[in-house]
Amino acid sequence: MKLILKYLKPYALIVLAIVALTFIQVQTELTLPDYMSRIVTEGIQYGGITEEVPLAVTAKDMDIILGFMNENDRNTVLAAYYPVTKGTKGKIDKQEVVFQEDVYLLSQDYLFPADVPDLTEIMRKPLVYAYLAEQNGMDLSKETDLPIGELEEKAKGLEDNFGSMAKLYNSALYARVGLSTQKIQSSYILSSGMIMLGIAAIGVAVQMLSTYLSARTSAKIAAQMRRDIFEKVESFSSSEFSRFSTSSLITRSGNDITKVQQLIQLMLRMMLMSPIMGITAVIKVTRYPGISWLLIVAIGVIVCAMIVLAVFAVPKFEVIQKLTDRINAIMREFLDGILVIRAFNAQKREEQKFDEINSEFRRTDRFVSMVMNIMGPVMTLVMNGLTVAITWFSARLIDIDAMTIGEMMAFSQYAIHVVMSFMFVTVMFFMIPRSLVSVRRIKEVLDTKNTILDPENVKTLPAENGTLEFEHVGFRYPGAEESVLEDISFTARPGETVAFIGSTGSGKSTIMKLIPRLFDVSKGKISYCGLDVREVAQEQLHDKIGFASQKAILFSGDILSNIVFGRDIPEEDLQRAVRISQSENIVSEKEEGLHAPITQGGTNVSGGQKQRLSIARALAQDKNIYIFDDCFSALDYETDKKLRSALNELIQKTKATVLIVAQRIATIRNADKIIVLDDGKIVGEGKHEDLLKNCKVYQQIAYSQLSKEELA
Amino acid sequence: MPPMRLAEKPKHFKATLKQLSAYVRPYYGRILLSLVLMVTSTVMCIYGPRLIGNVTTLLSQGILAKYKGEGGIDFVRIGELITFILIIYSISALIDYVVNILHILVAVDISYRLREDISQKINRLPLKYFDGQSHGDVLSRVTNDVDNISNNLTSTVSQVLNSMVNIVGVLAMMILISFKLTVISLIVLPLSGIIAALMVKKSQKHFSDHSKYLGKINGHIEEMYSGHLLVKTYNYENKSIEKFDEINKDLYQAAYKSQFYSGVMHPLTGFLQNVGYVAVCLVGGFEVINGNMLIGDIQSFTTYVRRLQHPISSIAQLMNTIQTMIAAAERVFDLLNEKEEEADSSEPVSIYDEDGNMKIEGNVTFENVRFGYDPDKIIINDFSMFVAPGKDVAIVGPTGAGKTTLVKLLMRFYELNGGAIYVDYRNIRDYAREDLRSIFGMVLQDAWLFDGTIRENIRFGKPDASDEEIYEACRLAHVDRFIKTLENGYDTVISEDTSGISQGQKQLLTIARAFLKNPKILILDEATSSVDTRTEQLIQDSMEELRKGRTAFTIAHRLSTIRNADIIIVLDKGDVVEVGDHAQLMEKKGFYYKLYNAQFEQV
Repeated sequence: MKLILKYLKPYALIVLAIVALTFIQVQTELTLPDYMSRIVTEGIQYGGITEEVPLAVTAKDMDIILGFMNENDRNTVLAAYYPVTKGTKGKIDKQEVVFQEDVYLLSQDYLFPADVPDLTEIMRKPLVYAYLAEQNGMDLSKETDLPIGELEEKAKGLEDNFGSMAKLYNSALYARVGLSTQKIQSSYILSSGMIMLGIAAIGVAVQMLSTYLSARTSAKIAAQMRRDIFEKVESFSSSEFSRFSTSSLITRSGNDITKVQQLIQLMLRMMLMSPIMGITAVIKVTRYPGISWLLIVAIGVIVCAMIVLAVFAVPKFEVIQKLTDRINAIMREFLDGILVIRAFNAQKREEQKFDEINSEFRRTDRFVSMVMNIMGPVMTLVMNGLTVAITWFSARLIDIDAMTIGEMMAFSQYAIHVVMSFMFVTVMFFMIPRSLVSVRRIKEVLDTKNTILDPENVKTLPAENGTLEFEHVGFRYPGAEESVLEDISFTARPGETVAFIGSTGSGKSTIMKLIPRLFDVSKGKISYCGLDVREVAQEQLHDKIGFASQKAILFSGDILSNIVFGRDIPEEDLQRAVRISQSENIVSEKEEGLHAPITQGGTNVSGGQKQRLSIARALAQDKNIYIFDDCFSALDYETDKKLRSALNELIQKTKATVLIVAQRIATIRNADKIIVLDDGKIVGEGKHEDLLKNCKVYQQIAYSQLSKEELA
Repeated sequence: MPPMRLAEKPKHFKATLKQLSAYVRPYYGRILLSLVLMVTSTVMCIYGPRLIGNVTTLLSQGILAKYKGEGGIDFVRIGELITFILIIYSISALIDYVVNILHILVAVDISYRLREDISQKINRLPLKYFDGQSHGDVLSRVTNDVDNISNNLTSTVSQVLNSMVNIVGVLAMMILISFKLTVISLIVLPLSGIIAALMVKKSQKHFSDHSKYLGKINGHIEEMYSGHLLVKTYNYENKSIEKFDEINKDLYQAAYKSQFYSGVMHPLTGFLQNVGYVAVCLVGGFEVINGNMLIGDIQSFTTYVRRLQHPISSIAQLMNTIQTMIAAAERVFDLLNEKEEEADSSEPVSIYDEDGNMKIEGNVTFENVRFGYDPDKIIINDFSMFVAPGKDVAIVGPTGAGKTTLVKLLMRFYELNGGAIYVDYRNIRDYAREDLRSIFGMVLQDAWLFDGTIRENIRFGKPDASDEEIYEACRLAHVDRFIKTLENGYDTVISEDTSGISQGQKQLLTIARAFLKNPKILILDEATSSVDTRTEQLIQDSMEELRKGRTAFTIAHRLSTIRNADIIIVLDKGDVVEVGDHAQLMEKKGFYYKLYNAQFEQV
């Protein structure tokens, strides 16, 4: 997690912008139900009227309303309204109107009742009484004594609904003033609709912008991370490489990075969104304390369901993974051993073995799926049940006007948002730890300290050839218990060919790798021209060495690019390298010559050809030391011989040092010095004839390859 | 949002579908039942919002009546309705679960069947098939492809149907509420479909770019890491990083563009959805005012409009899933439809006498044998030879000369392109394969052992062997002592990560296995150079022991070890160039002579 934050840091501003945009987006999204609620409640039910205090009242109606008030209130109300005579033009709530009767208009000051007495409390009851009277067909204008007692009786139990009733009555009042109530209603609904559209438009714009920013940022961070890890790995020595293994490093630089990129994208979009959405929705929901407890119940049920799953099914997932691995392993066994299985007529037995695991897989898979699939229906049921429950419990609130119908509809929508966000967060909790595994794996690589570094004060190697010297060199792999090499000492002078032979695991290749500091010695020292290899710059050291590895490696490109390998190589040297390495016929065989394509891993050339081209690469530049790590074994005797004699000619001229690791006695019997290794120790050193006489291991190797008479 | 994958297109959609349906056929009854149940539940589910809308209408009417002093909310009626809705929802959830279970059981069974079929098929395929196939590819068919089929086969069908029932049902409900509103919301729907399609088209290029560059950069990473030794020693790091940066830049561009386009599709269609929502609220509002609609209808209608979105977009997605699934099925069936090994002869020659003992002497005749892995590239042209029982035959020649091929033909792993091979004067085609192969014992250079104990691995040679027989075989193979030095002895488990058993020792175990089988004819592939000197001596000794009294074909890699062979066959480029014993061949001064001397020549 820290690592991700570190990478996010340079983009803090953008992340902040995304947070802000997400916030706006959530607000827009959650405001829409509010407006829907307004359309339903105020727009449809109350005829588009939002105010309890009428803006205009005919003189007749005013009289009746005033009739329900005491002296004091009557004066307050009269002070708020000013009379207008019949026939004058006026404008109420943006509607032009010619008054058909004498009317009272609410003075402008009272539209903002902050500085003036609030009329709502005073007028509510009288308005409701007048409304009820009208509903019951009483014509109050004709009576002098208002039937207060009767109306009080009727209003009993409706106290909570007075506000809504007042609004409803206003609509009737306005109609008598001469206002078109239909216009009031439709303009209210329309304007609400337009606001909704506007909000939706803002929402989409904001969302697109934040999508753009997050896509860009996550891609950028991934690119940066990918580059960092690649650069880091390129700086590794073989020692760090062997710690991780090549395939693991490839996954870490490829697959893991892709996963992290997805995680960041998810973080920037969903993970910001869900809590903001959830919290905002919760705030909106808590306006109705009477029913918000329903949400807690719904979430509780979901949590229980998830816990049940986590306890029962999730451990089984691991079992399934293991079984899948076993199915794979058995299949691989089938394929790898196909010859043997058929030769031993073991097909039936192997099929039985497969069937056992396959059946077990089927059993487990059935169980897990049956448990896992409870989730879907349960979720749907919870969601649907929640909506139903909200409707039921809201009905009670609506009855006492503690909630409107529109608000109930909006509430259902918020509730769904809350539950969804909650679910998402929960899913995140399951998902993030998995993605964090990738992050951890990347971090491990990035945090690895390189063990092979250039010294602070590098010494410079002389240009001419020098002597390579091993002094009591010992080596063990980091963390290993046993040494691979012990007390290795030898010298290789300019113009000399030194050969190494010994059985597998005797440490031949390791010695070769120590020279260019792919590993550092654990004991003793290696020096060239009298300088410890650890005192010179690695780059300069590498420039002195032509290296052909045990396993020939070719890169995708063409023959030329594989030999040149990023260096400046004059045509002449190139031709010479091709000639000495016996690669001429590989080149001439191909239509495109040197430009013949090579596929990744060199799969389109044979093993021997690969080896020769990799030798050509080592020979393409004049070097002071050439290392051939067992790369002649893949060549046939004929080619091996030709190559060595061409190489000899070159060495005669340049007086370079040649180190050869070989398995065939024939390859090395003419070396100036043969070093025989066994189990990491030098057990013999000298010329072929001497070793045949006095080195037991050498004799054994030799006799397994040649017969006595031939060796004599 | 995970990056979208481009769906692979299957090549033979119909044929694959037909074959797939053969697997589904036994479950038709269950599937039909599940479909009926599913439609029932969907219809019930669709009815829910309408009922809730009715509750809302009741509420609204009740409260208005209350205002007018004409009554109030009818809680009894509402209570009844709510209970009814809850019952409907519960039943439908229950049915959904039952449907899911039905589907899963079918899917799990089918994937089980497919895996079984593949595993059996593999044993019936000619070896030839595997020459052109990477193991990883076959493995991926067993796991990934079968998983894909199993995950999607039943669920996609039901989801498509579910979506369609939903669409029809929801549309019907919408029309029932208000035709006008339905028309209005239907104008918005195709619009969002068009936008989605445009976006997909626009992003397609970026997606394919993305996977292209991703492949390229992973390729580069893989190459550079596996060639790290060279990158280091040739100071190639900077060049490599330069190249990496180039690809990474392209990758970044493609990554953010593809993510942006796929990410922006959602808000855009969401906006249109909101426009539709607003339109419904507005028009619906007026309809209510004019008395054409009830207030609860707005509520149910908006719910329906939202419900309609989901199945439409999911159908589009399902089409992709189905395509990928069929492509996966196609790969599986490609394997299952591969031509199998030729059937055994209908009246095979028995290799046993009346007492049930093997009556084979072990003589082998090659008669004008002609063979090529690819019929156009014949590698054994015309090879004839008679090998008397108990003779020791060595096959030599440079790598790739076809040495191993000859013995593979002998055991009838491949069919000849011409000529015939006889064992005890009977064409090998006249024997049942199982019988033929039980005549032979085989020790390969690349010692194959399976995950299991040493005991199990050796018993592989003779399933009914007693422990005593196993120990005896191991003693003969000179591996008994070594096994006893292991902590768990014969019960040591051999697996990929077993340490302490070298390649050479593994080969000794396979020799023990061959001893246990006690075959008439032996095929031995000598150890490579990757075996230490002492173990190699052991291997030579035990092979020598094993050869005694049997006809043996030894593929030799070292000329020095075969000089005592009765017959030496020299192969070059697939042709038998010389046949004879060592002395004869040296005298001939031909290819063998040259080969033999090459290793001693002075440079």
